[in-house]
Amino acid sequence: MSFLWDSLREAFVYLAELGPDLRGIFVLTLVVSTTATILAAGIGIPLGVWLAQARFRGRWLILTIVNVGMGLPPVLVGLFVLLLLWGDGPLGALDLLFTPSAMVIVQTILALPIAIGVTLGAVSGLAPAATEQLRALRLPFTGRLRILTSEARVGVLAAVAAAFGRVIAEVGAVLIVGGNIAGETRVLTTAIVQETRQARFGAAIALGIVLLVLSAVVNGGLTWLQTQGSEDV
Amino acid sequence: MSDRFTFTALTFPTDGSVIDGVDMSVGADESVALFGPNGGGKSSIMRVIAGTAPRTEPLAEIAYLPQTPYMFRGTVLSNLVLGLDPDESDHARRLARELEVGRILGKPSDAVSVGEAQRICLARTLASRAPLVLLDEPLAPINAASRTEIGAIIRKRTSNRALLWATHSLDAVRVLADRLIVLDGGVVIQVGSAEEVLAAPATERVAEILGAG
Repeated sequence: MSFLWDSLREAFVYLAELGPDLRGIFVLTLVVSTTATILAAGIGIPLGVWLAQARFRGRWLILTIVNVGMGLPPVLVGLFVLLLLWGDGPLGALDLLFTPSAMVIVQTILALPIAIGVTLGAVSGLAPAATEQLRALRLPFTGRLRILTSEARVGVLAAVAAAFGRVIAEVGAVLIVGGNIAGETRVLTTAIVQETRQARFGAAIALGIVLLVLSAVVNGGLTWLQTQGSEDV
Repeated sequence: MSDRFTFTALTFPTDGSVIDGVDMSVGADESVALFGPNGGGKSSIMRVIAGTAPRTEPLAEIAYLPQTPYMFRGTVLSNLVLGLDPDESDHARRLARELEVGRILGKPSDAVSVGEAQRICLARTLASRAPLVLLDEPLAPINAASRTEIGAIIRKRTSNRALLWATHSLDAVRVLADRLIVLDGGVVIQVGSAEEVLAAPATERVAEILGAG
């Protein structure tokens, strides 16, 4: 029991010190995760809206790919991106491996199907009268996108929250393409793995607390946005 | 003045088609009512012509009012002018006043009644310059006391244009229809002027449908 208390005490000491390594890890986690979420949402929400509305031959295949993508094993995506970015790989010349950019790429790939799939579900669930009225208006895609994301805002924000949840909790893929290099590519999740392996449980707990708080703050903000102007959520 | 719109072999593009091979036409400055029981195929025909049914495209330049009015998030005004150009938007405001909803334009869109929403959607549809106007049950959500008045406004504001509208109400037919197409089970069972059809139903089934209207 005293082992747990000692670890907790160490964790709070670690947090209270707020050393430059913790700040660096926190900032990099925030930057990489929010960038990947913004990219995934920026691409995935319009695609999800389009897929919800479009009817074309082979649509089921695209939907299947999206659904499979939502459950992609992160280490597999990490390996795939590693091979792409490896020195002799197709994108090796970009020299992105073991950089935050590589971590953003891998996290965007992981979050994109979630942004598409959850948005698609939200827009598909709108009242038939809404979609019929919108089709009747013959608006350009940007106009339809604006209205549909507004109508399905609760679900669309859930897509953003789910995408953020995927990237903020990600460890395997970012470890493979980022390398967990101290001061360069170490983020909260990979740092927790590192500290745990070295039996520095106090530091691991402290990093876990920061991760939880960061996740709670971002999701709290998204929940606040979801509830604006709605009496039913 | 717009041309005559002729539609042939209209089919709802799904399995278990509600309509199959329906032919019809609407002349310029003519009001044609699709009349029939619920499930008779009226809305399906509207959706196929308007291009809102799955895997369809509009068959002409159309202003279309779907059966159920829907107000998107925002203000009543933002809904009124949605998809309209500046000239049409000005026209829509005038029409909203004419339809007695001019004073609610600043309200949030979720604070209006179904009847008010219908009038706003109707004003937006009529404000479009499209030569063919499709209205699906335009008077159904309007209170009974105002239907004649609203019907007259619709007729006036679609003059020189082709008007095709769906209804299952004989009162609405009397107010608004020049010609009547009676539908049953997705099939046309009588066509004629409103007076002719009402005075002399071609079959017992037509008489039965008219009797229920």
